[in-house]
Parts: sequence; structure tokens; C-alpha cells
Amino acid sequence: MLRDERTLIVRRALQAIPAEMRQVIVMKEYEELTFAEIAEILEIPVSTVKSRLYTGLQQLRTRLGHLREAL
Amino acid sequence: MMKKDQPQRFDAAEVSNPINGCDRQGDLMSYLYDEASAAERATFESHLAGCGTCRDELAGFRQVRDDLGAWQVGFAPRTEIAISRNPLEIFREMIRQLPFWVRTSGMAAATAAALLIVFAIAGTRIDLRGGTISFGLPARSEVASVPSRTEVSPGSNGSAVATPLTPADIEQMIAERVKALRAEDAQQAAEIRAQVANLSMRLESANQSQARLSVTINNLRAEQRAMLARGQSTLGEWLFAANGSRESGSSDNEKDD
Repeated sequence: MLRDERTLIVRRALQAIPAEMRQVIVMKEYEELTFAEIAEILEIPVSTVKSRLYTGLQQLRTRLGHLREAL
Repeated sequence: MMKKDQPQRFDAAEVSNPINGCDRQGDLMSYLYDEASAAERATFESHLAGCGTCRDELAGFRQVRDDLGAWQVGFAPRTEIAISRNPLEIFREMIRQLPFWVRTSGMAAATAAALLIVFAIAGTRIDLRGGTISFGLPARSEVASVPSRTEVSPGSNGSAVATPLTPADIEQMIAERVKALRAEDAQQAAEIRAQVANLSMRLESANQSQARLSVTINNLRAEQRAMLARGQSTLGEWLFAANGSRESGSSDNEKDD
């Protein structure tokens, strides 16, 4: 798979998941914040941060698999 | 499956996922992002050995993270702040930058005074001419004939008259030289104090700039969170508008990779 194809898949998958999960994924993956920092910024419990992240990753995993098949 | 009352559990309100039949998703997240302690990591690894669900999810999430890492986003207002060092570190750095003779001048003055006294007692030849100090072992002829100094006598029309250099003269010369060295030390110390004061002012100014930067970063993050909270369509436009042109422009090069 070419790199731009992979990038396109990731973009589409991120675009498709709910905003609150995408928000936590962006803060964790790209801003490299800790769970505690994300919880403090969003004013939510750490357990909620983990929950959103877990659910978001699950959805991304599913969508990435489907998009790969489609391409 | 680990018991819920084990002390290694992270959070009483951890994520649970009864659908998949395992309630260790919070631990899984900590493990995946390397935020678990050593004990927590060991406990979860023991759990992994007997939980196919968590093993499968861990492998899948690692693949997702790998995919996410392939997209090096430039949209997020990520800012790295260089934390300024404390004043002591700055002072040490400044001292390191000073010339060697300045750094060691305090020791040099004391050492020079001690050496002068030792040499005087030992009868070593001390030459203070030309603003420099030079030492040498006295030649046998010099030891036999007492060292002399040259003085100008007002009543002799400028003719030079040689007089013996007495121990008292040597002590006086040493005292004068030590006094001069101490004066130099005092001057250098004053210069260093002035430099420290200047650095302190610059440090204070840097701290103020850092505080302003922190406010700006907080504002940017708040703006980012607000944009993220607006919803998918708005976020999508925001996420990809800034990257679309750049990525499309570089796609030809990337295909070659």
C-alpha cells in the first residue's frame, strides 16, 4: 500500500468516528498528552478518557479494516 | 482473568466491556500507551497470557496506532515549550563560559602569595620587572654575591647605584603584589556580579515571555477543543483543509517511496 493511500484511509477513518472520541485520540496520539493531562483539559475523569480512547480505537480498527478492503 | 480486588488495579471506575467478556480495557489502555507502572504492567501481562480477547485487542490497537502514526498531521496547534533553567544553572553556565584565568583568579591570588613567600624563604630569585613575575633558582654566583637592586639617587645626576635587596624589601614587594592581585580579584568579582545581575534581568524577562506563551497555548488548545466539539463536519473541514493541499502536492513524491 502506498503511503498516500494509507494516509487517506486514516483520514477517512478519523473523520467518521464521533467527535468526542476523535478528540481524545488526537490529544493522545498527536499531542502526546498523558491520560491525566487529557482528563484535566477536558475536565472529565481519567476513566472516561480511557473509555473514549478504547471505544475510539475499536471503531477506528473496524473502519480501517473496512476501508482497506474497499481500496 | 484477574480478581477485581487486586491491589494492582488502576481505577475503580475503569472501563468495562461486558460485550467482549473482559473488564480490563482501562488497564489495556494504560498498557498500550505505556502509562502503567512496572507492577501494573506485570499484572496485566499475566492477564494477557490467559485472555485471548485482550491479546487480540492489543494487537489490533497497535496496528491502529501504527496506521495513525503514518499520518503526520500538521493541523494540531502543537507547541513545545523549552522550560527555562533555574538561575543557578544559568550562573554555572556563565561561569563555564568565562575565561579560565577569571574562573581561577581567586585561587591564583592565594596560591601566588603562598608561592612568593615560599620562594622568598628559599632564596629563589624573584623578578617583578615588566609587570610580570618570573622565578628562577639562584645561580651559585648569585648566592655567593647578594642579589642587588638598582635605585636612582637624586643627588647623583641620574647615575645608577646598586644596593643590596634585603629580606624586608622582598616582603614589601610581595605585599604590594598580593595587594595588586587582590585588587584585580575585586574588580573581576564586581564584573561578575554585574553580569549576574544582567542575566537575572534577562531571566525574569524570559519568564514573563514564557507566561505569555502559556496563556497563548491555553487559548489555542481551548480553541482546538471548541472546534473539535462542534461536530464531525466542521471538524472534518478543519482537520483536512490545512493538510489537503500539502499532501496532494507531495503525493507524487510519496508514491515513489
